[in-house]
Amino acid sequence: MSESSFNGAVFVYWADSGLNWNLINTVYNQETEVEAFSQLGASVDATVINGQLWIVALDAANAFALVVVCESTTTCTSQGTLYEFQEDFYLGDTIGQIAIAPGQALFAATDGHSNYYYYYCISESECFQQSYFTYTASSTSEKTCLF
Amino acid sequence: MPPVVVSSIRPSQPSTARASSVPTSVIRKRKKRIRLKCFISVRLASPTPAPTCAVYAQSQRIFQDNEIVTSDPIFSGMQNMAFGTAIAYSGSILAVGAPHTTVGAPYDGAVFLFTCDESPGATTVECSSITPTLVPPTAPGSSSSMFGLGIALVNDGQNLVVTAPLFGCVVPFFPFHLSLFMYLPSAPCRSRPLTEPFSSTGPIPG
Repeated sequence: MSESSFNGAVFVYWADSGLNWNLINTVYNQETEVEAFSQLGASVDATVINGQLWIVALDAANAFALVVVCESTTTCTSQGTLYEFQEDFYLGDTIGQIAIAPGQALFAATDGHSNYYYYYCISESECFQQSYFTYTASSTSEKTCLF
Repeated sequence: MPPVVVSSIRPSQPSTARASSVPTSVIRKRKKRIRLKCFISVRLASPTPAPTCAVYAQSQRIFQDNEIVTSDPIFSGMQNMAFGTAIAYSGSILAVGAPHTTVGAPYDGAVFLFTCDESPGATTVECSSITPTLVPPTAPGSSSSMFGLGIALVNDGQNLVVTAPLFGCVVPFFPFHLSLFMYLPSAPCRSRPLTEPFSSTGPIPG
């Protein structure tokens, strides 16, 4: 491996019929600008879309989301793409959470602090930020992302 | 290793059941006593078959009758492993993160895997461990990785994603700054250049 540095990593496993867990990819956090609290992997979620394993991970500073699209559920070579949140997405303090809609290229992220949440529609080449909201008890939203 | 007993909490019970309310009688009824320090409780989201899971890592003081004592090395020191920080369930596979587990160094982290028997109508689900426990690949010179802080298990339990937020970092000091980050260091993480390939997963040293 060539010399590199990173803060945090995401490990992807596939289990065969014998429940042997095979490490099929390791995605390293190459982000170095936000070095202090940019550890990757404070929260993670995944789903399968059209036979491909999609993974979203949030860094500890809530500064960016990493999106990894694997070729299949058994093969994964991508190092993923970083999508930065807007600056008003609260940095630091508390750890947000991230979740991807099952079977859809839609994920939502919270900042864990200011009651904001974002949702994004993602494709392999693009990431579309839809909006962000301040949560209220009566707020509702239905979002879908199908490609 | 003894199996892990996973007990259901009936839907009528509060979903926020705390560790102290876990029915230890479920364990006592078994002919063969299960000696565990950790109790995993599964709430069955009736009538849907897929259970939602909650993991309770309990200290021995909860089990005052001294029934729950383990001599199994895989569970020893579990109260310091942050067992249950993350949990995922899919396809009868249960994955439990323990990011404070000491492997080569403190806070290396580990993910414990179980396969669960979901008998229809059963109120008790028994999960048995799958070995080897997943531990982080070794990054030369790094101090800890907190492997298992985040977990996702999908595709009927066939794909597992594990995060290690401190992997590749040199953590200046411990303990963590609990008032802000529960699990992350209070000082900036300094990345360490890596020049060697990583090893694969392996068992936790006894």
